[in-house]
Amino acid sequence: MNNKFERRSFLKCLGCGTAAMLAPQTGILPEIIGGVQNACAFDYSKELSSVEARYYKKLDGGGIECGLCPRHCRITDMERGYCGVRENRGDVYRTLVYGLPCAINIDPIEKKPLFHFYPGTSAFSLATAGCNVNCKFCQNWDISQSRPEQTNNLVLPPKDIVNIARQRKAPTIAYTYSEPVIFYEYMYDIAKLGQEKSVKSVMITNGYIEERPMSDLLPHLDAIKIDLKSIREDYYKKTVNGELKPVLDRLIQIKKAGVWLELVFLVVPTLNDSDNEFKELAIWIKKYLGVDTPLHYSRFHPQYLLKNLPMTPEITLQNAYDISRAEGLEYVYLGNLPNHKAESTSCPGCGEILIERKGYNISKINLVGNHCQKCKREIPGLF
Amino acid sequence: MNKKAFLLGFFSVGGQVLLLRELISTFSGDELFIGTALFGWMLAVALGAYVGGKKTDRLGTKLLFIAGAILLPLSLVAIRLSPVILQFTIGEMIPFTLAALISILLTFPTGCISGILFSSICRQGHRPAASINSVYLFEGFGAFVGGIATTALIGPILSNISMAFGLGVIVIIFGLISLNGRSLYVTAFFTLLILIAIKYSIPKLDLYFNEIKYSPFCIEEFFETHYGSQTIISRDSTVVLLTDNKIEATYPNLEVAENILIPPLLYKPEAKNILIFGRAEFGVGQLSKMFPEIKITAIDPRISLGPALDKILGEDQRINRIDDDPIAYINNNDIITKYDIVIALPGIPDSYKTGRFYSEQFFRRIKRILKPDGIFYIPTSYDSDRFISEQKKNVLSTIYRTARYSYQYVNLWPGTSTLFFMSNEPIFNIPYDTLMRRINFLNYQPQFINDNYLKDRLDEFKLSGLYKSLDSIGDRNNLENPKLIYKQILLNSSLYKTDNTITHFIFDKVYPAIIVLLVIIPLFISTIMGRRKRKVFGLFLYFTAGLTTLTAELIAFYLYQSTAGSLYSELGLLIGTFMLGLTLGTYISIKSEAERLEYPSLLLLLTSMALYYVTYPQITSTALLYYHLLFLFTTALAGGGLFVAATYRYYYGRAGANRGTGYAFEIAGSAIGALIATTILLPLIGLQWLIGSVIIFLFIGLAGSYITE
Repeated sequence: MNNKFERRSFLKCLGCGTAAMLAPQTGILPEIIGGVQNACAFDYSKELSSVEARYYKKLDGGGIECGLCPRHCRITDMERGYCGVRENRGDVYRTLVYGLPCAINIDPIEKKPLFHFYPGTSAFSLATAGCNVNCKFCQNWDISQSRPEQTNNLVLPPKDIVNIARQRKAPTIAYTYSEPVIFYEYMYDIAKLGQEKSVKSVMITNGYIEERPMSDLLPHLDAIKIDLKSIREDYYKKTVNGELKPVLDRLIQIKKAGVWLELVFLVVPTLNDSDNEFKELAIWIKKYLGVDTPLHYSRFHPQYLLKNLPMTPEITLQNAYDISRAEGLEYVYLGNLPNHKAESTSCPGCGEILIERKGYNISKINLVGNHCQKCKREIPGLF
Repeated sequence: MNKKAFLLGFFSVGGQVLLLRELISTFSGDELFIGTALFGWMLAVALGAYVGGKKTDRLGTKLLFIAGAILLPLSLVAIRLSPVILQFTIGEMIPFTLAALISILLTFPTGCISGILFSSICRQGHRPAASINSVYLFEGFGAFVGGIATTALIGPILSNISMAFGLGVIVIIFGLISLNGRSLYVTAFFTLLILIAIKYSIPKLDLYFNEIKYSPFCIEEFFETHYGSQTIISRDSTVVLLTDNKIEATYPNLEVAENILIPPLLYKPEAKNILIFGRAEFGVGQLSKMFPEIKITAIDPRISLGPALDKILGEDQRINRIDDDPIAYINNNDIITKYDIVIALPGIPDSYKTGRFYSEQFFRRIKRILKPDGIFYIPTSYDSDRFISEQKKNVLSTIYRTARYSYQYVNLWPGTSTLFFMSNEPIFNIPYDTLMRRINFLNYQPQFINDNYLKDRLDEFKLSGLYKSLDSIGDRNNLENPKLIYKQILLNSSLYKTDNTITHFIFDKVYPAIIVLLVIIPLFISTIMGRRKRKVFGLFLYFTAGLTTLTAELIAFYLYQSTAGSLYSELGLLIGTFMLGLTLGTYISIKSEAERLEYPSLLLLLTSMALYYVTYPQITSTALLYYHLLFLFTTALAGGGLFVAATYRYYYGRAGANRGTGYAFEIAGSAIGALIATTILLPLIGLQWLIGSVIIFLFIGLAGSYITE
């Protein structure tokens, strides 16, 4: 619990008090009094968790170094890491969001998007405040760039999450919206508990995580979707405020571990929409992950800091699709383009539509187990 | 001296308008930014006047005019290219704090020169009081002409930068040459030739700067309208309309078009007559072809936009277009058409220009043109699909509360755009399956408004979450208490931490009040004390003249725009009347040679404000223009008188005094009025308290005048 009376609150109240003393001269006393009450109420302390975080080391001479993500924040006492949700309290690193999701929903699994993972099912989706990068186009910026005190958090320990998912008949729990890496401990415990109760777990992440925490987590996950923002380091630096290399390393690690992996590439007009970039991306995927790794191109909508950049034109998405297919990628999808063939899964062998999608709905499945009904080719994924 | 003063007024008001327009169109400014930019400009003028007045030797006015004329277009170019220079990504939001800082820095040179010029011209007369009053009189007259000319020429004839060059040429020519007789006609003829050359040559330069600003997009068209700067850009077969650098619409964008037209049709499938407030060319026009039985009318005041879009989009839109302001249209008593559905597309309510469409009064007024069982529908751009932040909740709940107060039944759809449906009949309680059946019966099969997406969008879990979060809090947004504007500004500012801290500080109710008190009380006390209090109190009167007249002007503009609409088509008339009142007030006061002019001036201001306070809610729409013209004229008349009275008090018998001090105080008062009045205090304390505060302030002025006799 963070019950301390902060300096900011003190100054606010002091200012309010002065105003209240001056107020009678202005004739706006009721307004001022309202303001005093509001100003003092603004910083009320919310209960945050204080579960000890994992993957950190104490530094000689005080402070700790976080080892969860490649940022390796060095944090002095009572300070927080870049993510804003992990705090050093007396050289013990604490996660402030354990059991405190700020967003929960039941979403179709296609919305994540995961197209080769139990199509047509739903996922109990949750997120806490915070993120370890700051993408200028973030769709969920109002939670990802918030501190847990700024969001209204529900109190839902792992067992409750698993129970709700079961009650709502959601076979899967999705750690999504913001960045699940920053609520690692919470996600880990839910995934582990879910595994025991036959509830699957999928992680929707930017992949900006260190190798060890990822390898510890992988046995408890059923699928991972990684937002690969670009294939260029400078884009990560300028637009994402992160690094590309660790993300690429994690992709290879996940693939090697055999956990189901799908990629999403958000096509942002003028920033990462060149033919060369689409080609480089396809070549890299082919070389390191294999042509059977699903790649989703999704459409940018004006959001967050790029509110005045128009959405991705259909022609650009089509171009990305064509280039990736020409490079040999077998499962390339285009998001938010209804009635486009790239909304559905086709057999790379015979061209038969295997899973026909319309928006988030599945209208037809032509699979027998993991095989194409027509040519019997094995289709990768969990069906 | 008088000619120079006239030229100064002409240049100063033109420069102010041009700089502000360029700032807004570069930084997509909200109401707080507009107030801050105006504040920065005025502070620069005040500082210039004070510093200029301190110089004992006469500053070369010709040199200052030339410097101003050169700096103005340069400042405009610097403003336009500042995001590129600062390496912002195209389309990236620029933090308010940085934008405000840039605006203050880049308007400073021109503003400061205007102020220095005032003092410098004043120093050319022998008697301080007489020369200051005379300069003020002719400066006001110049501002009157400049204000009308700028308002009339920008848009239909000249762009911002062309106008700045034109203004520079006029100032240089008429500031340098002594004109009489035949030389006047010759100079005027050559000036006209130069202006024609500017009209045809500068647009190329304009285009060049815009190409840099919007690279790698292609510039299809750009022009000014009274409602903002319009740019149409394209890339990869997508056309984008930007208004003041904000995306207003994109083509093609079927998802948005369907969200505008289809949802209300599902609740009213028999609709035959639909009215849209906003542009309908972007997809809605495309969709309209699928519904030949429905007559769609779209209202937008930007006349020149229609032909430009027709040329670029090149489609037969099947839309009946009306060029009018939506509020003016609703007020028109001749309209007998009743619509089945009225759709409003006002955009983000972060300024009074757009915020007026979310008021209780506007919502209720819509009923005049709506059938009894008709739907009033607002598709907003707020994402409520996964999570609603506190700031967003504040905005959405205010719209919801206002809707609930105005209509008996209000229905919501969550999603990446939150939709508000309002009606006085219970037509929204329709099962999901029926909605789906109605979709199937439509002539057109929607791609986004169908079972494939709606099952998720209208999921019970999401719907109840949205209603629950909006039911819990919320203020009503109305003309007397336009709360939505500042809630939206707070939401905008949450993008950047510094902006967030600053805007929360500004809109915290307490701090602005303290700042106002910390400025006004010490100023009042220091001017009513001491041996020379009669003279020194003149400074407080200057401050009062600036603060109260500008506040009155802003209040009148706000209310006129919100209740009558069409502010921009009548803006020239309103500004002109105000400036004329100011000039006439100054002239009459100088000529009257009466003593203690502050009493009639303050009393006239008080009466004018008090009458406005009592009568403004009762004025019929047909009388609104005349009513506001009269109010502006009266307050300006009194303002001019108060300036003269303050000058006599402060400068009488003080030949060596700084001739810029009084003007600096008047402009500083205006600056505070520009920043505090409608921008901060109006949404916080409401209109009645704001007018009340001005009245209280005028009483303080009266009391001070009496004490210092």
